[in-house]
Amino acid sequence: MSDAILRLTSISKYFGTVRAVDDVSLEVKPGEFFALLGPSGCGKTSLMRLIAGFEQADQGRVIIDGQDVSHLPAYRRQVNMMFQSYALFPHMSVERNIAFGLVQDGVSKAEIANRVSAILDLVQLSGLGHRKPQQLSGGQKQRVALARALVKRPRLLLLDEPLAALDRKLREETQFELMRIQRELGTSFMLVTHDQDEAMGMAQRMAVMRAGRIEQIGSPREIYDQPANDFVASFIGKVNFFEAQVSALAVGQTRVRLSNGAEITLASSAYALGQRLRLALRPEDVHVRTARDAAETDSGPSGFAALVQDSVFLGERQVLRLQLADGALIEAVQISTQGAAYERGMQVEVTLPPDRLRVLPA
Amino acid sequence: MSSARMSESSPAQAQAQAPKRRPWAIYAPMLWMLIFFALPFLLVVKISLSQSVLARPPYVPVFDLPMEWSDLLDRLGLFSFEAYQGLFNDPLYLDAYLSSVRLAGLSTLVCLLIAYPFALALTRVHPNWRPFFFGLAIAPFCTSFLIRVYAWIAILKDEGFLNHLLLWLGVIDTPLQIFATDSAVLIGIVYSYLPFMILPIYVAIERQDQSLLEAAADLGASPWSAFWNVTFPLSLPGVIAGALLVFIPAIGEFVIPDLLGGSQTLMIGHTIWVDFFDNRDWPSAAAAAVLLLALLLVPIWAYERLQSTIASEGL
Repeated sequence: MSDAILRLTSISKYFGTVRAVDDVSLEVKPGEFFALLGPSGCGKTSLMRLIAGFEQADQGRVIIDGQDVSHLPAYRRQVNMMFQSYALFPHMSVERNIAFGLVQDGVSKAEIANRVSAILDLVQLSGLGHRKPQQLSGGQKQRVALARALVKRPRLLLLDEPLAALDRKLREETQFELMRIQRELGTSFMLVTHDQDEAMGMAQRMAVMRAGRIEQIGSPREIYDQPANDFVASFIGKVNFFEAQVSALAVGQTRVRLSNGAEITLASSAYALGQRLRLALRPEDVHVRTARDAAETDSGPSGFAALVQDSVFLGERQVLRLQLADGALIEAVQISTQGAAYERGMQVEVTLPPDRLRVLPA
Repeated sequence: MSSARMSESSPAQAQAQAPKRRPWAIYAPMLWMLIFFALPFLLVVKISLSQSVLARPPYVPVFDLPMEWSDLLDRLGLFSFEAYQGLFNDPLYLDAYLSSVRLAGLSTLVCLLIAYPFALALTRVHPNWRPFFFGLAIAPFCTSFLIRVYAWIAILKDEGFLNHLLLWLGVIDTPLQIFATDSAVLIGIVYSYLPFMILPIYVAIERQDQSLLEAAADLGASPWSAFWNVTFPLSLPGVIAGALLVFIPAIGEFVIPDLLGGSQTLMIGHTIWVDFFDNRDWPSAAAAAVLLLALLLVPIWAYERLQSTIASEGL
């Protein structure tokens, strides 16, 4: 696709002998909200600094809006960045901070005044233009940083952990605010974060990184429902893993035996007899009912017994830690309004729906 | 109603009282200043208000506690502004003041021009190398100040090291007359006070958030523009502190003009020295010293005000 705003081809960056970024390729489309997600030290910040131009890649190319900028310094690149620390100039007023980039570009004074006041409106800071950064709250600083980066109308805006310094309530509001601004301007946003909720909440597509490499790229739903491997599965949301072995094969079906002795039938025949598999299942997909209910109705796919070890009530949902016959612990999430109230020590029956089970490479 | 008023006023009272409870440690330096600065200075003021005589001490004491109360009025009658009037009538003092301001100002400027690039470079070298360069800047302090100034005589005099070098290189045909001129005083002051300029500027640049420069670059500022718009304005408090640390001692400097300067070199510190010890005109010398301090209070006061503005509103 040649219409990508940002295209990275096989980017690598070494710090000493450490590969901070290892053969990364990805594309960000016009108007897309893209997230780079990974634990700290995974190379996502290094990757973003390579895009902004603060570092130069050792291998690969950075192409922004069709132009190869791999060897251009930061001040010649048509991307802007919102810094995690905001990096507002402490000796300049809000207005002068925002106007800084336009002054550098030699934009006329009249137009600077217009664009600064328009962007102050957009981030809802009208009237605060004469304040110094020290006189602003954390949330206001964040919006000045956003306005300063957006006023140059970049093709791509990089946001480095934009919500990290905000408290929880403000974080949620700001999340919606960023999405609104992104929609209104149609600018491509690239969000860098270690917080999966942030990434999944805002991004249309995201890349999950580990140890300098991209593990998976896709929409939040794709990545959640079809994680490429153990790491992605456990990094994005919670997941239960089950060790299993193929015990019988039939046409279009595979029967596997879990380590706790239970047997499940998978609707696939891509496996060999005796093959070891690793099954992943989200806590909310684990079906739980009390042993008494199970005994009374006795219908549906038969499950296996478990003991409620812990039960945490979180309002709209209830998180259960269940101990299986072989001692393994799994987690199950129940919607509070459905099913019984589970308590520690209760005997339950657990069912694993085969269509929600994901088979990962063992 | 009255109880409500009580509860309203008590937090305000507590706030007003809080700053009064200072730790005792703060009084130790204040006591030091009182004994070693304020009292001697009051003595100088006292001498400046008396009349010169050929005696020992070479002035008529005023304000000394009289033996009898009847003496007091007689003593107060001796109270005199003659020394101050003398300062304004004698062009020597005015010339010495102006010449000191000029030389100290020029020295400060030259110090700044040398120290700023040095301090900036220091913030850019690898942290492992910084102690080495700091050492270079501070090393001269390991020897006596007098010996270092004498060393400059050997370097600058007509048949000195510098002239030999320049003659040998063919840059000049006849030796340069640097020693015993204002230029030699300038060189001596710049050399002696340079570290006082480097250190505050280094600190002011070093503590700047590096992401500010990245933000400037990200917004399209070339390295030069980022320096002028971000690094330099943010380092101004360090520049001002350094300038005061050089200018204030330089203006009262008397050893350097005495050793390196010539007969035409006029500096107020040196003039005061000559008045005290050669002319034995203590009241005039004391009056000149008091006036010098009064003049120096202006830049110090301006700096203090700037500092408190920065503290309350930012730069």
